[in-house]
Amino acid sequence: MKRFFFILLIASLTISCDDDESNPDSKLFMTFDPRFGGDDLQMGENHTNIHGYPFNVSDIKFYVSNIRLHKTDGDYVQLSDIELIAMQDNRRSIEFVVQRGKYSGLSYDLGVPSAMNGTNDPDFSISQYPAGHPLSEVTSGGMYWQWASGYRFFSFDGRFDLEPNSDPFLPMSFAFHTGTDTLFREVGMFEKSINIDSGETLLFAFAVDVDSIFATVADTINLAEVTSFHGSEAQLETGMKLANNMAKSFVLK
Amino acid sequence: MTKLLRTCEFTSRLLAIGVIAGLVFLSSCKKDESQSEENLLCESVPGAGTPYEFQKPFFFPDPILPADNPFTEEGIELGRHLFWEKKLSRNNAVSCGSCHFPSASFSDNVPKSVGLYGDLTSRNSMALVNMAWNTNFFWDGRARTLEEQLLEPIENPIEMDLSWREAVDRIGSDTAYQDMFTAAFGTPCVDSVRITYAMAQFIRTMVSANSEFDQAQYGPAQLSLNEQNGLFLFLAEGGDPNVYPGGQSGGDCFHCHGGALVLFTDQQFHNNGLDTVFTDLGRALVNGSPFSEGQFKTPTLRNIALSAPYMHDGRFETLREVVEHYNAGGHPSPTIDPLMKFQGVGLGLSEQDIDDLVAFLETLTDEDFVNNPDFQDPH
Repeated sequence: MKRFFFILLIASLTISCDDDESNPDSKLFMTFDPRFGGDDLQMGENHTNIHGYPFNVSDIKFYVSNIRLHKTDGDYVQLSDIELIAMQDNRRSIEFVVQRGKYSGLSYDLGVPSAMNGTNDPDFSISQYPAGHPLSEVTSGGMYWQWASGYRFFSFDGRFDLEPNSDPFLPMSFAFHTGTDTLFREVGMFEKSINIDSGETLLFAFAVDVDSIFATVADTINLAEVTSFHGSEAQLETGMKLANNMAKSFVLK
Repeated sequence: MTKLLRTCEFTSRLLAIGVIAGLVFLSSCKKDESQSEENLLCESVPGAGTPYEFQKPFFFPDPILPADNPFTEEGIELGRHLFWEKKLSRNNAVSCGSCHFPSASFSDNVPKSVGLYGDLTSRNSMALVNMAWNTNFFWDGRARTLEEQLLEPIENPIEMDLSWREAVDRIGSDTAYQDMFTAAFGTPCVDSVRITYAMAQFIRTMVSANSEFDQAQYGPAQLSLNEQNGLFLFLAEGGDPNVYPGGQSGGDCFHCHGGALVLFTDQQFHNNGLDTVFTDLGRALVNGSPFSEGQFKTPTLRNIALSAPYMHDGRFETLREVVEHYNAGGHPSPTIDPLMKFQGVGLGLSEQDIDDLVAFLETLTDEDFVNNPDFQDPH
């Protein structure tokens, strides 16, 4: 009996002295920061966009979903079903615990997956999401749209003018809010060879390139022609351009 | 073998002595600590009181309830007594309830509240509605929890002007309160933590979810045609569709007051175009950002008809004036919210539309909430 306790004591002492090796978990951070013209973009700061229009961004918010950490063997680990990034609130980073192993990169989706968005589900209620959930009305930062169309996926709001203007107040506003299954997009994959051993901190730092939201090689949003999108079917072409550009705006720094 | 056993015995004895010495050391540390803080904070006694199960309305999201301040029947009752306690102001003139009374949806009906000496506070009293779901407190969001918020007004020189030391002495020397603190927290000890925690428990029980609107939206009742049109306008995008693609000629209220039709706030900060030059910097006073100047928290619209006047400075006397402000498009400033899209041109709502929007907002009044006997002054 005594011997048993002795072993127990020694064992407990050994365990308590071995803290460093008993924690194999590593941390992975994803961060998102807005960028314009290659520099960090401050909310509310005036710049000139690709079409020569002065503009500022008051807020960028979006849902990233199905965040996948890809293994070198082709399989992947789903780190999270859904997260909300909200720039003005400084909700810009997400932290995960990851297991040791060899990984090849990260990918995710932009938007709220159909099943979580209540699309085509007459019994759907946003009250089903628990406290603190990114889709709970309490913590979704006003991203729930209205009963018919679910959540906004990507919300991009700001002000602009169509002629040179150095005044801090810009007289016109833009508000581009994508949503609905049609505008759900895959993002990545962002390749990065990682061998997680133990206890490291890994960083996937993304820039949200506002230049790309206004214009990519394929799609252009010209503020002289369109200043808002809120999911209207009549404007679907604008919605598609926005969704495409928003998905392409993510750059691994 | 014998030798080994002896060694073991010796080692385990040594360890035992070590462990005992360690425990003695630890307990002596603890004693010193509690002695040095004896006059400031009470020992916490978890599990004291009768657990109270918070019932959320079925169509509401889960609230964010702090794990370190569980509801108890006795805690809530104590909180109610403290909320209505005038001894918490230096000259015994006002309680929390003086500026947050039921008929005004636990707000008051003056532009800026009158403090214990008759001086005016800097902002309009905020209505205490569904605080269990609130994620930031005050017009500028400077408090992150209700418990943190409750630490401010008692010491504020305009509002109640009482130091926490004095507040604790006054409440602690009252034998009725000694019994109530014992029932709620296990011992008669009084401190600022127990006072604010009990009040927070009480305030979180103040749930409003049975307005005329709720009875129609989540039950069998029907809104009038005018109220229905108001609801449509509330949820519709602003702007004439022939001029603004995607416009629905609506009031565009839902962007900030919630398209879910439950909490009626996005819990965010916006500059809604009240002024071109700011006399109150609002959110910028908290985060220091020039881009937040003139931003204030979106208040809930539940019971909004009861808490006139409106805005952080109480500048609008009626709901109609509020809707007219939005309909006019607001005043330009560098930080005006992009969702205020129509400076100079306005939303273009007709007089009838404005009336209908007001009629809809009036359906958010919940008589059961303001008349609930559990929330009234017990003194």
